Amino acid sequence: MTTTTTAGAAQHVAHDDHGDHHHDPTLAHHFDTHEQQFDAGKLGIWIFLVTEILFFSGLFCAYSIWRANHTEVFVYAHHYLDTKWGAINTVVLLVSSLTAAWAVRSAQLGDKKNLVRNIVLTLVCAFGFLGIKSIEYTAKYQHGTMPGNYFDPHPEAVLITTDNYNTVVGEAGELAREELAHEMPGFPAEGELTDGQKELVHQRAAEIYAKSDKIPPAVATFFSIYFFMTGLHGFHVVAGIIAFFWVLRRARRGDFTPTYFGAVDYTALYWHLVDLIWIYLFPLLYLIS
Amino acid sequence: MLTHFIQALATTAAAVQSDQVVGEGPDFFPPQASTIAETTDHIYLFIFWVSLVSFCILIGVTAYFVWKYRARDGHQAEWTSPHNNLLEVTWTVIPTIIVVFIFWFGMKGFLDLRQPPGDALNVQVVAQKWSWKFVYPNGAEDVGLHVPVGRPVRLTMTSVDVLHSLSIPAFRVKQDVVPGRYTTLWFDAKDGLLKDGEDVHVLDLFCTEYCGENHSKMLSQVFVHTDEDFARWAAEAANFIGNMSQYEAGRKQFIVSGCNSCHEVTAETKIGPGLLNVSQAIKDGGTIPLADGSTVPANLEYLRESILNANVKIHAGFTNQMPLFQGQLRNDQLGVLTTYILGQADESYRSLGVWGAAEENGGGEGQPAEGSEGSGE
Amino acid sequence: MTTTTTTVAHATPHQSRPDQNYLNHSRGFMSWFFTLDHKRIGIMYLVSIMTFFAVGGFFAVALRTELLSSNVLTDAAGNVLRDEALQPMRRDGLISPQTYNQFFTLHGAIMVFLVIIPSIPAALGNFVLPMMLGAKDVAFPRLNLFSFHLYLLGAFMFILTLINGGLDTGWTFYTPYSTTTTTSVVSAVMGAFILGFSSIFTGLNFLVTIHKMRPPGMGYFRMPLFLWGMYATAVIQVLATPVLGITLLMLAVERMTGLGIFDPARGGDPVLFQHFFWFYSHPAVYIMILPGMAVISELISAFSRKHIFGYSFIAISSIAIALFGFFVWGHHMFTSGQSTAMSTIFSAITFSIAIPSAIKMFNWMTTMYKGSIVLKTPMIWALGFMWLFGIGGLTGLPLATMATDVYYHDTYFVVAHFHFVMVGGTLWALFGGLYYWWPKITGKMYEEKLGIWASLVSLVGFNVLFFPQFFLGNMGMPRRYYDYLPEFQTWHRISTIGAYILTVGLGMVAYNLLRSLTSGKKAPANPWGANTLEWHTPSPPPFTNFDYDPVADDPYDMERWKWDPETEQYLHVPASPEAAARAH
Ligand code: HEA
Ligand code: HEA
Ligand code: CUA
Ligand SMILES: [Cu+2]
Repeated sequence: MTTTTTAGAAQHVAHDDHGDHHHDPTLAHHFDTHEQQFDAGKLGIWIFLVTEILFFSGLFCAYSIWRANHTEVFVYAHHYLDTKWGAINTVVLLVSSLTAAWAVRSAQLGDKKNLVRNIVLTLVCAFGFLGIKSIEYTAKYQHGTMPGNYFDPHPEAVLITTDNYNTVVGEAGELAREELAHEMPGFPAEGELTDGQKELVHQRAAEIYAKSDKIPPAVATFFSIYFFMTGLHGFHVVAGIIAFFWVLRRARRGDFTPTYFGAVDYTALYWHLVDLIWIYLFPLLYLIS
Repeated sequence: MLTHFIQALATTAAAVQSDQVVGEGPDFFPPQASTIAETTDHIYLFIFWVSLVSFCILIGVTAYFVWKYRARDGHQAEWTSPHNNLLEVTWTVIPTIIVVFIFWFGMKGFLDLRQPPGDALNVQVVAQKWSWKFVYPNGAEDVGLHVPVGRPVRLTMTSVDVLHSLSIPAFRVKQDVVPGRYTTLWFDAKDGLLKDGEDVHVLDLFCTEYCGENHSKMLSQVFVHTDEDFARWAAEAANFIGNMSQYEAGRKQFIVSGCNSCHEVTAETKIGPGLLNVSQAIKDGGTIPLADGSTVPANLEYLRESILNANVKIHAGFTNQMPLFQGQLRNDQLGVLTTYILGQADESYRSLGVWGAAEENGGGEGQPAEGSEGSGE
Repeated sequence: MTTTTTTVAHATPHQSRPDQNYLNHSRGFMSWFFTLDHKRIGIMYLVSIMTFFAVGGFFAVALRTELLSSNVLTDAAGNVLRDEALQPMRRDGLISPQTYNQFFTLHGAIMVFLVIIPSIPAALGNFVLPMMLGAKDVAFPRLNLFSFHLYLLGAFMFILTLINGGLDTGWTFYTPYSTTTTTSVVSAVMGAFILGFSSIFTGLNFLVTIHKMRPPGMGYFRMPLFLWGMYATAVIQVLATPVLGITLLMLAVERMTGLGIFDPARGGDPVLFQHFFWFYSHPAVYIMILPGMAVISELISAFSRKHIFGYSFIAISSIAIALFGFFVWGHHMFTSGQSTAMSTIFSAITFSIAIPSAIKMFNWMTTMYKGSIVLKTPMIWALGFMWLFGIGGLTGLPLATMATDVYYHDTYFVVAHFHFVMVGGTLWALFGGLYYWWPKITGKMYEEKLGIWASLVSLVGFNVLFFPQFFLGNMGMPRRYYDYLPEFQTWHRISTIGAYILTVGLGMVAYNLLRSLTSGKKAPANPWGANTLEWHTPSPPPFTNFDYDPVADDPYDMERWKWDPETEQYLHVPASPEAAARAH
């Protein structure tokens, strides 16, 4: 209670040394201690992560509602996605999360060499992830399985199913090629095709598609959701890459010390979240049954 | 604008004194025309009085304090304890009890609003920008809502374009109308509504969900008939195509289908092109300029397509705002409509007889319109 | 127990360079536009917000002018609905229906996204919050500046929308109208998206600042109630706004590529959009009112010269409102086709929010008991707030009641309700707060008499403007109507006249405040005798806010400040022995 009754007095005692509290350039002028500064940053980044989760949760919510209303569409459409690439990307991101955590540890220990090395490794993984994603996107573009209004799959790329979309027979293009190879001696079952042969496959694929189940109209929306979610996630990966480049520059310059390494820590935390979101996206989009 | 404003001020002042502008003067509520209206008003009045009392206590005491303890010479603030749990509990618990009651009445009232009795008369409602179409069990269609008095009526509603909402203040009912879905609404026009000797009583009907440019013109009326009068009206309305000349029937259909909310039959442009021009072009064998820069020959084919699928060939100078009528119009309805439009420029169409079996104006080849809908129950 | 002998009454707290303050600390456009100083950022927000308030107000007055007369006599089918003789003033509209629709949309969108949501937190909060904490700045000054730049970018997107075909969806952007109309929805939506992030970062900054930068002597339950209000607001900003962000993004994508989620033709659900929208926009109404309530708590206590009554109840009720507010969004959708069970739950939770609001109102009322009530301008606004928010809040009750909301939904009753709470609540608190902190912000006193008159004229204008709209609602007049049937005309006219009176009142406010900048008297450090820390430093404050490290004590200990008629200001005095004993 002493402090409160004397508060008025204490607070008007001037500090003549105002402004000379600290010359430490790593401590911002409005913080008193490194600890306060670090804690503030940490709380800030955690709150930011919460907002990120809520941001994505809107999409997850839309996803769930859509999937509940159109289960068969999801079951059918997910076959268009390449689980192999999805799985590889999951591993890539997990590894990058590990290196990011390791970078933080190195920074805490003041181990500049390992810090730089781990940030570089994280960046390599991040670029790897984007590379693989762009392979997948390119394939979608070539197959015409684009979102919404742009959904216009080429006959070769259409998946033929039976049993009310439950059993996959195969891609119309492959089925067509098989049939052609069967019927026409000399038609290559594998490898490059000439333009004429491609045309034949195209026609046959269209015929096969015409005879089979039609693509449900709502499939376009599956691809909308797929591109929206992975695209937004990809955008976050890019943001992470930019942040890590910035951290890398500062790390090489030797900015970080065992008392001042907030930037590394916060960026790594953000990166873990990006990783986590992918860990949800992967099964939700690629592994539907 | 200034003179307008001064005039407005003057008439308002007069109106406030004499209530002339609105005839009977602004009522607190519209008449209670349905069986549930009274309940709703009672709930409202309960809330109103409770609120008024709470408000008077709050503001009264505040005003008293402001006056009694106003800063003045010789008056000093006096220290009193800044908390008192008994008071806090009081003004937590009393409002809680009040709102529990309000909630309860509101919920009961709402449940009544949602559950139609089993024997209700079914009317289908189709909303479109910016008109209503009511389809009755006997196939009659109209832009007004006709109901028999003292009998529950259930509306099954959908929209062909954007959200609308059907509201009948005198019945205290309202329900959004959603594209791709059916929503329902029911009411029962109160028995005493029709005065002695009256056959029909008219009430207002509004669209209360914002739906674009003419949202405020999407009005209609409810006609509450006596039982006999309703039966008479329904029989007449169901067969008007069979009872009128094609041209006259077309005029009526033009309104029933809501065409007139966007098209004039003169050369004047509204939301859509004025139809005299189209009619004239067909008569003269001319062409129609399209929005994409091309032209098409003006003929019956074009006219039919433009009614059924307006989005295919859009007239130059317009954006497509028109709903699809494919599947919404029966053959005979489409027939009289085209007759009516063609008749604007070519008077010979006006003298055609009743729409019959043998069709004069190209009823033969591949009719696009099929499937009448909404023959109720 | 130490004695307080070291304290002497003094006018201005010690200051090392008395002529230096944050306003003349540096000069030039760049020193403002790229400043990290929370005070300057607050002022830049204030100026931008007031500018957009005038723009939004222009649209409002224009649409009220259109509503002076009705001309609807026939329905869409051409049936005559009303006798022409009933309507002496029938005329053609001053503006077209399309323009009217654009006006109320832009009015609503600008007022909500550019004015009322940022108003108190971003303008006053930015200025005051760090000072109340005795801190030199918010936790993340750079992020704070970034928020402001985002605000400008968002505002720019709105201006782009204005130039580029306007917007006619209503501020609620309901699908499928918003996905099919030809106006520039995408730029408006992206503007709101960006403004959302501006709001999120402000909230984040405040949360961290309050958590980590409280001065010695300030436990959570020693914080001024303004900080509690800001805290509760920030919680909503951080938790609800991201959902608005993603919703608007989905809407933009829907328009650009045909996402399908809201499109019935693709098997989507247009009503889903409403759920998403209100999940944000209901909590958003508490983003608007909580800061207003926060300001009122300060004003009532300061001008009653009394310790606030029921401190912890007011503090906790803010948090309660913030949390409950997340679970009531469905009360905007009772007629949308949402299931009865859901409506029932939403209605019940809505009522539970009325309780914390009631608690606040009664605690403010009791604070005045045995006070010495100084009727200065800020207090006039605060009392106006009690009147207007009381009406606005209570008329929320028939809207939360399911049976009656079916009748009132989308009528002028709702319009009146939300103007009473948003304008009568938040805006009244904003002006109260602005007058209260104006001397601190600018170092100048405004004209007291004119201030009181402006407040009273505005109060009268406001009531004449919006009270008749309750009657219109009762009569069944739908909202967003360019035109109306003749029987609504009387009330509409009175309402429009009220709008003109209000405009005059607000003009007086603007005139008074702006004039004080050039010809106002110099403001003392503490003109009102409030004990929160910002009054313990000169007006205007030095660049670093305090020239010493402040220590907080009870923020509502009004007895520590005594009026000195000679210097016309409050002076800090030692605690009386009784007060010291009480504090023990
Ligand atoms: C600042 C903004 C703000 C605030 C604080 C509120 C506060 C409340 N609002 Fe309001 N509301 C809006 C802004 C706000 N609202 C807006 C913008 C809309 C329309 C959006 C649109 O469609 O465009 C809207 C619409 C709206 C609706 C939907 C109406 C419809 O469209 O059909 C409902 C329904 O429940 C509602 C209810 C409430 C309630 C119960 C409160 C409560 O929090 C009020 C609590 C306060 C009190 C109760 C008064 C004080 C207490 C006393 C005086 C003591 C006595 C108390 C008791 C006896 C209980 N509001
Ligand atoms: C905070 C939000 C806010 C504020 C302040 C206002 C203020 C006003 N509003 Fe509005 N309003 C909304 C939010 C707000 N409104 C919303 C969300 C809607 C729904 C939109 C929709 O349906 O989509 C709406 C809708 C709405 C309608 C219904 C339209 C319809 O449904 O058809 C009407 C009609 O009367 C109206 C009128 C007014 C008026 C006359 C004011 C007046 O109070 C305005 C007074 C202000 C001025 C006249 C500006 C004057 C300024 C100065 C003189 C200078 C000040 C400058 C300095 C201090 C430097 N508003
Ligand atoms: Cu239809 Cu409004
Ligand atoms: Cu709400």
